[in-house]
Amino acid sequence: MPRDGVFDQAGEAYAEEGQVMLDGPDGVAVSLTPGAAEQTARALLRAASDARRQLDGRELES
Amino acid sequence: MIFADFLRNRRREQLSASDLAALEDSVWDVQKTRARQLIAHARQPIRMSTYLMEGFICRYMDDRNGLRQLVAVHVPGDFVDLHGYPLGRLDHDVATLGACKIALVPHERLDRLLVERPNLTKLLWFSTLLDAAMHREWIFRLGRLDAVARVAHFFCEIEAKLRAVGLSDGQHFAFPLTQADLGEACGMTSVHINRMLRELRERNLMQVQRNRVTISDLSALRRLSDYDPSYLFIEG
Repeated sequence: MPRDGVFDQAGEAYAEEGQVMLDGPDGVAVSLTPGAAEQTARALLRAASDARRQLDGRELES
Repeated sequence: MIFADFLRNRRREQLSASDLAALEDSVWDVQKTRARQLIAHARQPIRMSTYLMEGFICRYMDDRNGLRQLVAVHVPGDFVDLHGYPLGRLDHDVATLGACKIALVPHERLDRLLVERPNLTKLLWFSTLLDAAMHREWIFRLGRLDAVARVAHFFCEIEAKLRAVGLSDGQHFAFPLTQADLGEACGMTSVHINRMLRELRERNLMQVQRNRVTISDLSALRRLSDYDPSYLFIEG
């Protein structure tokens, strides 16, 4: 883990009794309804895409 | 003897016979309680502290929706709400988990012990500092560990505390908590806890059956959960 606490290790997701469980990395351990899990997944993909563009922009500037 | 397990395998040898007798004399009453009985209400004045002789007690806080977070689980030998003596009131509720046997010590008797017995005072202070150390460890557990490690860490702590008072042999101990209780201690739903217990069982680390825990590989359980029991100040 880098010193600033940003993880390069993915969390794991499971389905159990109609709940979606997201575990790790670090202290993440949440249970979501399927709908909330789908929204979270979409939001994560959008944020990851934005973050990649930010990184690409930084590389172009340097 | 009421305080037979107090600081057992910790600093018990520093408790003189005279101090122990004074502590025993300070007890106003010994009571048997039923499971799920409230012992102390948050924000209300309290005039007695509770020493746990038998059973399990928890401290907890409820959120605005009534969802509960356990913030400590106490085992026999713990002076559960000694905090309430200097504070005058607690910021959380205290309740039994299973049936318990408790001893009640009025605060005015603690006043006298503190004036007359500096060594006992230091040990009572030590006892409350143990609780503070456990709270720090619970923050680490909830803030740093993933789901399976949180559950493993919880059981490592309970096992170590029970072993200190002779209630675990390192592998087996009685455990009256439900999966819902475990969820409230580890910040997860009971379904999530169920899955993590299954994972621990499938990894051949531990299992819970009929209110009894069997730990198959304590070293591996500790490694999995980054567990270091030094914060419990247990000797030997």
